[in-house]
Amino acid sequence: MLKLVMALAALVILSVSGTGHPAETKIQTGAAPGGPATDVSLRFSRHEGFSRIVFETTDEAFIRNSNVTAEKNLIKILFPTSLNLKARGNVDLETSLKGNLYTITVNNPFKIKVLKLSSPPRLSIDVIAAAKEEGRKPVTVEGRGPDIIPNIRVVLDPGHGGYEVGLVSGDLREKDFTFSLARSMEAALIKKNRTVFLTRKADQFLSITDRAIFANQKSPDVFISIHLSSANDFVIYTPAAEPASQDSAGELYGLMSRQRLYTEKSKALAEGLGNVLKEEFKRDIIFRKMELPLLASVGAASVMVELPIAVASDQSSKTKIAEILLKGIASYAGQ
Amino acid sequence: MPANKKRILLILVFILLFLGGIAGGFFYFSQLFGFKQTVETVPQEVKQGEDASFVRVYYPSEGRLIMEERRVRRQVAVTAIAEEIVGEFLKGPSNTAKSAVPPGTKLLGVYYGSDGILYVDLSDEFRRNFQGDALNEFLLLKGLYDSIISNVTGVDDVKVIIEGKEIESIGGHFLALYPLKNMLAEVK
Repeated sequence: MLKLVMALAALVILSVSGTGHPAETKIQTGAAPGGPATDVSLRFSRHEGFSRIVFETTDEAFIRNSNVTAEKNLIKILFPTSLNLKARGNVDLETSLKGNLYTITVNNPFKIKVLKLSSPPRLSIDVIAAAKEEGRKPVTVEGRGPDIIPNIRVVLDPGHGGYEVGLVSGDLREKDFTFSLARSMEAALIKKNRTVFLTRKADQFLSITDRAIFANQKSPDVFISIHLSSANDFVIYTPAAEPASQDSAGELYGLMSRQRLYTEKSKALAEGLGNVLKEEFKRDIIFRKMELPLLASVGAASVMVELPIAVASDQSSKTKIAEILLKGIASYAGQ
Repeated sequence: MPANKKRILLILVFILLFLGGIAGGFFYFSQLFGFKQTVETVPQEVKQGEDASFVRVYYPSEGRLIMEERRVRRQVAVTAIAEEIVGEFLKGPSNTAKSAVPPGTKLLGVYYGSDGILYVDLSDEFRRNFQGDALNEFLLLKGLYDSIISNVTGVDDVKVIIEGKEIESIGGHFLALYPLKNMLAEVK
């Protein structure tokens, strides 16, 4: 049933592109003003050669009935109702909101690309610098680094902690390694002025529930739980799409509905991380879908990465792993 | 004997019989439904000539579950059968040098609720001595669940408690706060 819904949702995706300069380009019609205000979250990210503005809500019809037009140096977005706009991070463009009309002022020649997407319902507008558009290359894994991670919010979860030690191999303890690795990644991201949070900031026990609550409070775009594996290969877990059954215990166990809107993003994040890990370490990557409660509870692209304990035991590997995981995030976020 | 004394004696006998009936009934039904039955140790080896049956026990081993048939004492009550099976599970597989079952774990009790959930009370070693990643934890819990469900009729689900208390997780990857069935959905 879920697969059928997903397939239908995919068909609903509308992709329209147009030139915003100089003539007006009408993307879609049929807006019906009025009605109660709709909660909408706004995300802005700057990429090489273009900026992306994403309006996200839970109402499919709201997105479907939105109109996007481009005229001279203005992009006008007419929504079917007024909206309560909640911006995540800074919008690095001149914008204004009056009633159900949102306008963006762009000073340089530009083109726009509009996508209406589902799961979750969202309107994505890419503002492409016209002069540079021809030369813009598709995002690739090669050559990417932490410095070109788009402005996204990242929550890193160092596994275990406190009395929960995790795997042990010689002097290596899982709780220490995951924390140290997360710290390295945090430092690299902060250095590049990116927003990053760690679920734990010391060697302390933190329950699965507390980790999930913390992560959701930070409204991340990316959530990565870091663990070690006794296997010889890297293992990347993504959350199962839905609980195994819909009875009361299943619903109870699935604190969990939050992730249902993000399963495709989680899969894309897993692939992004898996590709760079495979390329750098020349090891197989095991992708595993599992009903892990932490991943299932986070409302963002979420994965759990298990690093082979043999790789982690190499003292020099920590910095390399941190860089590679950040590459993986960049690869995902640049899609 | 005066009529009054006779009457008082009869009333006393009646009260004693009534109380005895209540006590007997409580004892009988508590045995029948197995409430709060406990065992002190892992079940003893089956002796020669003792009435026995074979059960299938699933052990986590090297990233998968392996099944072994074990001979246990024949039991009738749900909790008694479950005790035999969990006892065998905690012994670990016979053919593997290193058992993935946390060493030193003792079975403290098995309780069968009216909701069809079997509560397995284990000693703290089950949590404290667990060493493994997410898959190891999954297989440990699935092995315990499958061993019980495939041998004990009438049990719908299994919940693990430690030292008589609910705990959030055994190894930091899965929740132990809820019964296991839904959590142990197929890994893809």
